Formats: sequence, structure tokens, C-alpha cells
Amino acid sequence: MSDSPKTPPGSAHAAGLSRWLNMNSLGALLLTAVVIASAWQVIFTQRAMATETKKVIKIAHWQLEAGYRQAMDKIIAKYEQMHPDVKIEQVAITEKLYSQCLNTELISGEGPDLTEMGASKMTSQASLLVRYYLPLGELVNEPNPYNKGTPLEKRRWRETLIDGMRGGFNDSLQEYYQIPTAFAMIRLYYNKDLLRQVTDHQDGPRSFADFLAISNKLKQIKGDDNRPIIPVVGCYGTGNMIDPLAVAFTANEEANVDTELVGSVSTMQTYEAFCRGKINFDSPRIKAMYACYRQLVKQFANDFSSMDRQTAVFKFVQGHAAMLATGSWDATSLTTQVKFPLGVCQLPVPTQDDPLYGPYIAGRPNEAGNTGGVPYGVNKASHHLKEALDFLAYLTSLPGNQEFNRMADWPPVVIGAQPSELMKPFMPDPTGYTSHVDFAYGGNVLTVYNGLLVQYLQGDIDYDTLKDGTENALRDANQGGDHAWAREYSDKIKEVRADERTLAMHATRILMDPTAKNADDKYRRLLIQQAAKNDGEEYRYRFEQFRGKTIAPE
Amino acid sequence: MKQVRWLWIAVVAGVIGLEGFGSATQAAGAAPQVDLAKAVEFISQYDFDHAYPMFQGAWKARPEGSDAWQQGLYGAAVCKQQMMPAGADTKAEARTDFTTLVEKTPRSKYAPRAMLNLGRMAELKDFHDDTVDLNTARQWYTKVMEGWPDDPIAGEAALRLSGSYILCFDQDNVNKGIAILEKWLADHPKDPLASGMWQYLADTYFYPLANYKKTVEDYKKAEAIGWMQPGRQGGVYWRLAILLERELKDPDGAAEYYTKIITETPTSGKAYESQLALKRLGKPVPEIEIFAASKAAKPAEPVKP
Repeated sequence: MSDSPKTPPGSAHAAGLSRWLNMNSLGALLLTAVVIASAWQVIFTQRAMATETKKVIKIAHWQLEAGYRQAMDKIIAKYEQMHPDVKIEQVAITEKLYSQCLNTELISGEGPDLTEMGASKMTSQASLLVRYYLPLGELVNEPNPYNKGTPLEKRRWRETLIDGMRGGFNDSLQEYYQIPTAFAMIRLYYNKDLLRQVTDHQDGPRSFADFLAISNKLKQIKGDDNRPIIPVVGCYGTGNMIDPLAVAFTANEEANVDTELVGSVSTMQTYEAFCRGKINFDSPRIKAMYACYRQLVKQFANDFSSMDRQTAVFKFVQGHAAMLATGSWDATSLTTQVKFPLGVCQLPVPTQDDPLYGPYIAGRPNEAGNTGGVPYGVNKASHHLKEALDFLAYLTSLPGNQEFNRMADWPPVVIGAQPSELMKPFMPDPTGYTSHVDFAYGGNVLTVYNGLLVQYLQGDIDYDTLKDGTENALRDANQGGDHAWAREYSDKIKEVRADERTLAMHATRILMDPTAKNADDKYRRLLIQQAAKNDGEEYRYRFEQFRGKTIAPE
Repeated sequence: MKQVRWLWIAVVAGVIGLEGFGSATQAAGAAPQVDLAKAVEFISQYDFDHAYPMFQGAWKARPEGSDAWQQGLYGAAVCKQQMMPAGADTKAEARTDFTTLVEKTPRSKYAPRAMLNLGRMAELKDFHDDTVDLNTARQWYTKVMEGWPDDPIAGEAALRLSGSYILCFDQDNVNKGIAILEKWLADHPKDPLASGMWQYLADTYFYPLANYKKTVEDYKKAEAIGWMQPGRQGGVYWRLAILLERELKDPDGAAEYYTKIITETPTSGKAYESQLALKRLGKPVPEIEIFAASKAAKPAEPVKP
């Protein structure tokens, strides 16, 4: 019998389990386990990726008014039915936080594919706009494919919107960066039940005289709070109702004041006309206008100057106020809140047969020049640019825009799109005038004027005090109209210089970037636009002509 | 086992080394072109501050007169010219760079634009104490016109030269500026800027010269070529209509433009008043069709012109 040496485990000579319990076997086992795990991971991931083939795009906005988000959900669902490979997520953010959220997302490169433009400098400042948003000029110069089969089939996309897509055009960049999707208009909502008590028609005030008559009668009625009914309240103060009066009274001054024949009157032109003695507060027309303002404001609540939007809506919905001046965006929420039949009409202005003001009246303001609102732009960093653009095309096509806005109860923006019954009174009305004089020229004069106007409207001061205060402010040597003119002169010079930067940007791209599309066209258009400004010197020359002295930019 | 281990280490080290070498080689060879493309991208975003060092680096590293040198120098000069806030030093540097480019490579493709920019720097005020030197500006514009007479940039230079006189707004200088541009257009009727030039002349005849006959003539020349901004000519149509009606006593001419306001630019805001004007003139009154969803009111009372 011999003593054989001890057999190490795993060796060929080891027996039973010991043969397998060694480092080599352990290594092989580990390797096998890793391979199996990796294979499983690959198979699992591929399966997961196979189910996520949809392209997801996000559309962000701040329109939290009743009806908008629901309509957006529905139009998205319709679009997704047509495009099963696309999923659209709506991101509604309160206006207070919209700018912050958008800024952070865009800078991080993860912003929504489509964003409502506005409320943030990222969507308006030229240098940021070009950095984050896709220029749309080439696209909107082609027909919108979703208009096929409609009367708009052959028209360029930009010519299918009522405003000609002016609401989407950036003048300084000479490019489209956004496409409007709806109009936003101001009207007078009224409580039909209350008005039925004081008038024999259902239309709402048909004129300013009718408005005054209705209001006087309403004040005799007590509401369920045992207080006299307030004839009218405004979500944004009295301005919405005063502004149309300015046009009604002073549109006929355009021939006197618009020496440039541009078809409108600026505060600058008003100041020049004032200095030349062509118009002032002694004019019977101007006196009548302010008297009319005061009469209007007497139909508001006593605390009109401090009443906020929520309070105004509350008073109207509760039946304590008979009429409410606010926008189309409030229509849906008002119809769901009020417990009375709701009417909508145009803001009342005097007509030429008004017993008091008729001789001074041209007509109501027109809305033909209003630009479309609620515009959307396309994030350059979108991973699905084609899909984002396609949805925007659908949303602003005749069928898409009509359907969306009928569901949302907003005024559509595409030519020929029929509004919902509720929105019919809100569609832009081209009848009327555009110009009005405005004495509040310059920041300092505006501050003085606004302060005096509130006091005048409240009855705390008389017309002569308003007149003297405003005219003195205009004539103030340091802070008056001359100062405002110098500021505008300076601003125009800066504008020309800002144009120069954009021109330099385009010129460099033309020279160095073979992919720069349409840079030549944009350059030429902006060049002519800038040249016409004459480095701002027309402002200097005009001032010298009517003031007889020189001016330096501020 | 030790040999196997060292073999593995050697293989891994070799792979890492090759990767690094390859990347470095690629980076070194591609750097100037990639940087300049990136620099142009920065400029397209108005980011002249980030673009500048790339252009500066490119032209400093390249032989004088080479394409990359020219591109880099031009780009660096533009960045200095457009950086904010502008100051005397940045402006002076830009001036030096443009001048160097023009002197060293007078027939460079960048040279005419560099000269034009030198003119622009003389004409425009860039900071508070900056001075305007119209004579120097005019010299540069003239050099571009004379040096590249058949290039579109010459037309731009003619416009700038004309404008440098018109902006003075006194009669003599305005007439000088007009004469320059009218001669240019007579010699170059197909200039790409011709429509805009005619419109600029019309604007000038309107104000300060108050020559309404020439105003109307020149606007019509611009119109015949085609407006620079189609769809936005409503304001010009209004001016034409009023001048023809009030000043030139041409009711048919006025009616033509009131009608165009309604049919071509209904969103200019003057369509309704144009309807009133046509009624006043006893002419056919088209509907404002684009607002079919609103009631299109018939004109009620005539407006006094």
C-alpha cells in the first residue's frame, strides 16, 4: 500500500462534488451568469423600445380659462386618430409661473415642442428668439396641407389667416416665429333678465344713448342684496369702454393731425398738432369727449378705480351688476357661472344721431387691424420638429381652427372659419375708424394725465383743472412733450443701431454659411426698412420745423 | 499567468493609446473649420462675444492672406463692431481689423462688405460720446460703388450714399441724395433693391419735399416692380389715395387705391373708410370679404376728406 499525495479539489483526480468546487469552476459560473443577465437585459430593453414607437410632443400654454384645455384635449385626440404614431401632451401652466418654467426648460434644452408665445422674453427678444425658436417663413409661404379641399387650398398658409399672420411676424428679424390660433376681443356681456326689466329689446345697449337710458333705469332697481343695481363693471377698469369713445369722437381729427398720411394718429403727431395750435383741450369736440367719459364712468360702481377683475366678475355673476366689460376668453366661464340668460353686444359708443354728442361723432372703432392672438412657436430643440409643425398646421387650418375654436368658444382666426354661436358677437368687425388723438405724450405727461383723469372721472376735479394740468405737463420744459420727443428721437437712433446688428448677422451668414436660406431676402427687406428711418433724423428735423429750435437725443 | 496578465495590460494600453492619438489627430486637423462653423452659428444667435475668440484664433493661426485668415479677420471685426455694450475701444479695434483686411486683401470677397461696414461705423453713433462722420462714410460707400460696380453690394452702397445726404433733411442735401439714387436706378433698373429704392425716393419726395406728383410717380414705380413686403403696403396705398384725391385732384386715381385697400389689404384698418371714400367719389364699392363672419356694414355717412 502506498501513500498517494492529497488530491486538490477540481483536479482530474478529485472525485465527486469536490471536483467542481474550485476557482476555475466558480469563474466559469460567474461568467455564464453575467452573459445570461446581459442577454436578458438586451431582450427586455428591446421589447420595451418596441412598444414606445410613438413620437411624443408637448404643447405648453397658460390659457387656464374654462373650456380651452378641454378643447385642446379633444383636438389633440382628433389629430392623434389621424396620426397614430404621434402622442401630444398638453402642458398648462399658470401665467404667473409660465415665464420662469419656459426659461428654465428652454435653457436646459428640454423645453416643450410647441409653446404659447408671450409672457417671456425668450419668446420676444430677438437674440433669444433666434436661439430657441424655429423660423417659419419658408413654411408659411407654402399652402397649408390641411386646407386641401377647402377654398383656402391654394393660398399661402400666412394668407389664410384673417390678419394675414401679422400677429406672427417679427419686424426686427423680418421673419415669422409664431402662428396665431385665435382672436381675443372685448365686448359687453349683459344680464338679459335685468335688462328686460328696463328695456323692451333683448339686444343689449344699441347705442350710447340707449346705454345711458338703460343704466339710469337699472339704478332704480334693487338687487337681492337690497342695493341698487350697478349698471356696469369692468374686468380691467374703465379703459376698455373709454378707448372706443376716443376713436368715435376724434377719428375726424385725422385729416388735421395725420400730416404723414399714415392712416393713424400717434401721441407724437398729437403733440405736434397741439404745439401748432391745431388741437387742444378748448376744442368743443375734445370737451364733449371728456364729458362723455364722465357720463360713462358714472354708470360704474363708485369704487371703479380700485375694483379688481375677480370682484367685477363676482358682482356680475351674482346679479349685482347688470353689464360686464371683458374679453372673449371669459365667455365660457361666465356661461357656466351665471344663473341668468347671458347676452353679448358691442361696447356702446355714441352715434351721429346721438342727442348730445352726435355733431362730434365719426363712428365706432373698427377691428380690421386686430392681430391674431394665442400664438404658438416651435422649439428649435424639439426632437420631433416635423410632427410639431404638422400639428400646428392642423390647428391653424380651416377645418382644424374652426373645430378647435368652436369647442373652446374662442373666435377663430382663419378666413372663413365659422365661430360658435357664443363667439359670433366677438368676431372682428371691420366697420369703423382707426384714429384717435391722445394727449398723453411721454411717460411723465402720462403719469400726470392719468392721475388727473381718475380725479376728473370721479368728479373730484373739473374739466378746466384736467385741461390746465395736462397742458402744463405737456409744456413742462424738462419733463413735457419736448422731453418725450427727445426720448423718441433717441429710441429711433437705437432702433436703427439694433437693425444694424441684425443686418450684420444676416450679412455674415450670407458670406460664410452656404445653408443660410432666404438670408438675402431678409437682408434686403430689413435694409430698406432701416434706410427709411434716416438714422432717426426725421424726428430732429420735424421738431425743428414746428418748435423752431434744435433738439438733442436724450 | 503573469505573462497573460501583462499581455492583457499591454493590449488595453495599446487600444487606449490609439484612441487618444486618433482623436487628437482628428481634432487638430478639423479644428479651424469646425470652430469657424461654430463661430458663424454663434453669430446667427447674436452671440458675438462667443464668436469673437474663435474668429480671432482662426486668423491669428493662419498665413496672412489665406482664405481662413480673411474669414477669421472679417468675422473678428464684425464681432467687435457688434458686441454690446459698444465702446470706443471695441469700435477702434473693429475699424483696425476691417482696414487691415481691406489693405492686405483688397479683392477679398469680404473686402466690399468690410468697406461698407467702415462706412456704417462712421455714419452711426454707437455710444454716448461717439461722433458721426458723414464725409468718411460717404467716401467708403463711394469706394464700394467704384470697386464692385457690377456686384449687388454696389446698389446697397448707392442707397447708403444717397441716404447719408437725405438724412440731413435740408433741401440741398436732400436733392443731392435723390440725384444719386435716381442716377443709380436709371443705370441699374433691375437692381435687386430697385423697388425699395423707388419707395425710399417716394417717401423723400413726400417729406420733406412735399412734391406729391413725384411721390405718386415713384410709389407707382415701386409697385410695378413689386412691393418689398407684399401684404404690408396698405399704408402706402392710403397715402397714395389721399394725395391723389386731395392734392392732385385725381378722383379716378384715388379710387384705384381706395379699392386696392379693400381688396388687397383689408386688414390695414382703412378698408371701411375707403368704402366711404369710394361712395363719396361715386365709384363702385367692393365688400370687405375677409370678415364675412362679421356683418359687413354698408357705408353710412360720407367722411369729409
